[in-house]
Amino acid sequence: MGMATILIVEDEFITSMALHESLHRMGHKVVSTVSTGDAAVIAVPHFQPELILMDIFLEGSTDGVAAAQRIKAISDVPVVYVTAHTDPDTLKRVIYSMPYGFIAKPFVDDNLKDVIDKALARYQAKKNL
Amino acid sequence: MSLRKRTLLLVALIMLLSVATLFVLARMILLGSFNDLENDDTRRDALRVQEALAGEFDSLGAVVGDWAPWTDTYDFVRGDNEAYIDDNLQDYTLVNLQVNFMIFLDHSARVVYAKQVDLDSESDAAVPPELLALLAPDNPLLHHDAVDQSSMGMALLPDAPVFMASRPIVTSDYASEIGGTLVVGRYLDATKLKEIASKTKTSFSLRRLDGPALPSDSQAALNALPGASAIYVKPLDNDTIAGYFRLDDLHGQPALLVRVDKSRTIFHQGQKTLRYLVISIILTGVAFGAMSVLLLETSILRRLRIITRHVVQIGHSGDRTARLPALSGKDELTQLAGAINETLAALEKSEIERHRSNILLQEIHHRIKNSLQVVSSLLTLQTGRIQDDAAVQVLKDGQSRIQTIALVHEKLYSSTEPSLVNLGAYTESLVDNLKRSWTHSDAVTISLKTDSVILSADQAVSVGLILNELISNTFKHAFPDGRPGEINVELRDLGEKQYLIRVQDNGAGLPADLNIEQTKTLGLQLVNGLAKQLKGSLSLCRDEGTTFEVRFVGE
Repeated sequence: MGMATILIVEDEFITSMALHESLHRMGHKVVSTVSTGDAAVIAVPHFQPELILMDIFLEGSTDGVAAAQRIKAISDVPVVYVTAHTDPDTLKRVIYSMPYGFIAKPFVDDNLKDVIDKALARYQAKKNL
Repeated sequence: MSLRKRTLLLVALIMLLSVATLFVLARMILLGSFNDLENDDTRRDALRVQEALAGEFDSLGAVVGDWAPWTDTYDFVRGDNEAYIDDNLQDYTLVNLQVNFMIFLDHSARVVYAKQVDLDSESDAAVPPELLALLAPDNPLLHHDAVDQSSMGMALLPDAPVFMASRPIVTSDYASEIGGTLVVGRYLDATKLKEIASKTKTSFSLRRLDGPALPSDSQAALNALPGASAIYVKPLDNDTIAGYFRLDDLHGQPALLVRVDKSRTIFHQGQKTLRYLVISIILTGVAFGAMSVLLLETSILRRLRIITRHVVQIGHSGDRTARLPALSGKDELTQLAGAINETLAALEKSEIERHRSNILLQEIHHRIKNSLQVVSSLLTLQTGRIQDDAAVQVLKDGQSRIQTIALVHEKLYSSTEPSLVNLGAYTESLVDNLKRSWTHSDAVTISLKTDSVILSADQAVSVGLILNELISNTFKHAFPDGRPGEINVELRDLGEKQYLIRVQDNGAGLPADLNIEQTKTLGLQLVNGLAKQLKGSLSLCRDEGTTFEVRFVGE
């Protein structure tokens, strides 16, 4: 899979930094890293990312799932959730928002790469239809 | 059996027993009283007949008392009053006196004159020779201790029994010697018996004891009668009761048995009363039973059904906020409903607390996984700044171990029992992660067979780390240079809390000099140590590839 521009939505600095470096190693370009849902909604039209890595529990009043819903209204950019929350209620909300992928924390680069590649492929396939 | 059925059965049983007991008691008391009453009534009738018969003797006694102590009669029996018969002894005289005969005997018991009339036709009749023969000198009627003494007695003549009275014939002033005896008598013929029956308002019959054998009832009564004046009462059948008494002849020998029959109206009245009483008791019992059931229905069963219906509804809906409606009254059922509501409130509270605990637990797991992510991220960052491949691999191994531990927290949270982990599901996720990390081509396939094994979180971490090390090692070393192969992972429940972990491959095999007990590689040291921590054993088989087995005991 080729290079993609990616927006990271993560309020934990070390995790976002590690994500940034990992994505870089994988050949992707991180267009921006934001720590709130609202900032993510603003960043999407501005940076036009090809994929968003979205944490679910974020600073501020808008969580990752709500932010993804708002982004969906303005863009068809694929969203992959990255979260430590795997409780049934959260999973239900995640599934309902029909994401392109889901990565449970803690993850390793191989997981990350695998899910991102599959999400991009699915998005591409959908676009080609 | 439902409460309603049981109560109905109990009420019916109590009613049946009550009716039976009351019936037996009433029968004993009521019928006993009615029997006594009937006996007394029959005895009174018999006594009336007895007195009426005695009255006949009194009448005869009055006649002889009038005629015997009379100078004219005295002269007549001495032969000094020839006009006596014409003057005094006409047919109508006897008819008026209501006697059948008058017999005058002189002092030597010779019949001077005898006259008999038929009272029905009021005409003269012949004196039967049996009567005259009866008046032999030894007849007690002809013997008197005093001049003013009357004697009475009964005798059986062929045609009818006869009542007789006698008295010495003396002058009117009793100054003379006894001139003879006057005997008067009255036959107990059909007319007389009818008259007595009419007077006493009874129905009675006579049985001669000198005749043919008595009917069985009469014979039994005769045997049971203790004396001449005694009365014996005995029911004849369902409709008639009889009172018996005996009449002795003038020699004191039993001669007649009088049977007074009486309709058993009192007995029938008693039976009717008893029937009414039993019907009343049954009706009362039925009413009582109906009232009991009605009371049970309105006071208990209906309200119990309300409680049951609501409890079932609440149970089905699972709505912990639902409560039973307020029941009317202030009794045990109201208390029960109150207690159920209190229990529901306690359940709701406990549910809320459990929910809060769950949220707290979620939060803890979230924080642990986030922290593990931070550690993993730090290792990632560190990895990016190291050039040495071996060092990079060490850091990656560390990340893999962290992920293995984090996965237990994920499965812990998912488990319904917060301290236990379903190792089957856990191993599937773990193998899936490892497969994703290590298989970059289709050359190496990995298969997994697991039984359903539930273990504590501590044991699950150990098992997870063992699998992580063994599978990672296999991927790292068993298939060099893109060599194809298979890895088979098994988790088996051997029964009695014995479990088996097996990781088998058909790869290049371990170096021949490798001693798993003495190895310096961290991975195998971890496997060894964790197997011991699980109170298990590690074994290695080098036939056709490599097979590691860890057998351990569940807690």
